Amino acid sequence: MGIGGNHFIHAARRNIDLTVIMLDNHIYGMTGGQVAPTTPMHATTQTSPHGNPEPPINACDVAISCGASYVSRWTTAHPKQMRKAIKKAINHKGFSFLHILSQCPTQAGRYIYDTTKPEELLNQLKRLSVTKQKAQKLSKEELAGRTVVGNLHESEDRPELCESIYALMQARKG
Amino acid sequence: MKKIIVDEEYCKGCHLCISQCKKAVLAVSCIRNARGYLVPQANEPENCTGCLQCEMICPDMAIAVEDSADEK
Ligand SMILES: Cc1ncc(C[n+]2csc(CCOP(=O)(O)OP(=O)(O)O)c2C)c(N)n1
Ligand code: SF4
Ligand code: SF4
Ligand SMILES: [Mg+2]
Repeated sequence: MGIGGNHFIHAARRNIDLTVIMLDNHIYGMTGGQVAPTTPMHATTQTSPHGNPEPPINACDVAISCGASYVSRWTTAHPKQMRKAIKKAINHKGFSFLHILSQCPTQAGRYIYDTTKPEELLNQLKRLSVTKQKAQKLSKEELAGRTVVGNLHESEDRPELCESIYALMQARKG
Repeated sequence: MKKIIVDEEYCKGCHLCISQCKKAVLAVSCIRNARGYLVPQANEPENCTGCLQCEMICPDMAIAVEDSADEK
C-alpha cells in the first residue's frame, strides 16, 4: 500500500487477472518496526514514538473503488476461511485482492500492542474481527476499532484487461 | 491414530500450534533446536481429531498431521 500503492491502484483499475495477497501486520516489520500506511492512528512505532499522527488506509476500499473485481479480508486467526478465499481469488477472472491481517510479535507486538506473545496477538485478531453479515447490524460506534472480515466484493461486470485486448486484436483482424 | 510430525529445524518456537489445539494434544517439549527454540511435541496423540488447526496456524509450515500407518 505504501511503496507498491501506485501499481496496486492501476492493476485494480485495469482489472487485470492477478491475485494480490497483502499480509498486513500494521508495521514495517522486516526493517525494524517503522510506521506503515496501515499502522493505526496514534500507535507508537520506531518512527512514531509520540504516536502515529496519520490515519491508516483502508486497502479493501481502495481496491473496490479502483475496480478490483474480487475483494475479501480475513485474518491469520481464520485459516479455513482464508484458504477458501485464496482459492476463490485465484480462480476469479480479473483483479483479486485479499487483505490478510497478521500478527507480528517481534515489531508490532513490541511497539503497538504491548505484548510479544504470538498467542495473545492471534486471539486479539480474532476478537477484534467481525463478519460482514454481523457488521451490517452494528452501529458506527460499535464497529470502532474492529475489522470487518469476509467476502467484501465480487463482480463479473467489468471486463478483464487481457480479454479486452484479445477482443480488440480479433476485431482488427476482421 | 494420527501422527504429528514436527520439523524441528523449521520450528521457531512460537507455540501457536499448541494454543490452537482444542484437544490439548500438543505441549512444549524439552527439546531445543539448533536455533535454541523449544519445539512442541505431541503428548497425547490419541486425542488428536485430525482437525489440522495446528498445521494451518503454523507460520513456518513446521508441523504436519498425517494418518499413521495403521489407519491407511
Ligand atoms: C522498492 C523497495 N523499497 C524499499 C525496500 C526496503 N524494504 C525492505 S522490507 C521493507 C519493509 C516491509 O514492510 P512490510 O511490507 O509491511 O512487510 P513486513 O516486513 O512487515 O512483513 C522495506 C521498506 C525494498 N525492499 N524495496
Ligand atoms: S506453530 Fe510451527 S513454528 Fe510455532 S511452535 Fe508450532 S511447529 Fe513451531
Ligand atoms: S490436528 Fe487438531 S487435534 Fe490434532 S494436534 Fe492438531 S490441532 Fe490438535
Ligand atoms: Mg508489514
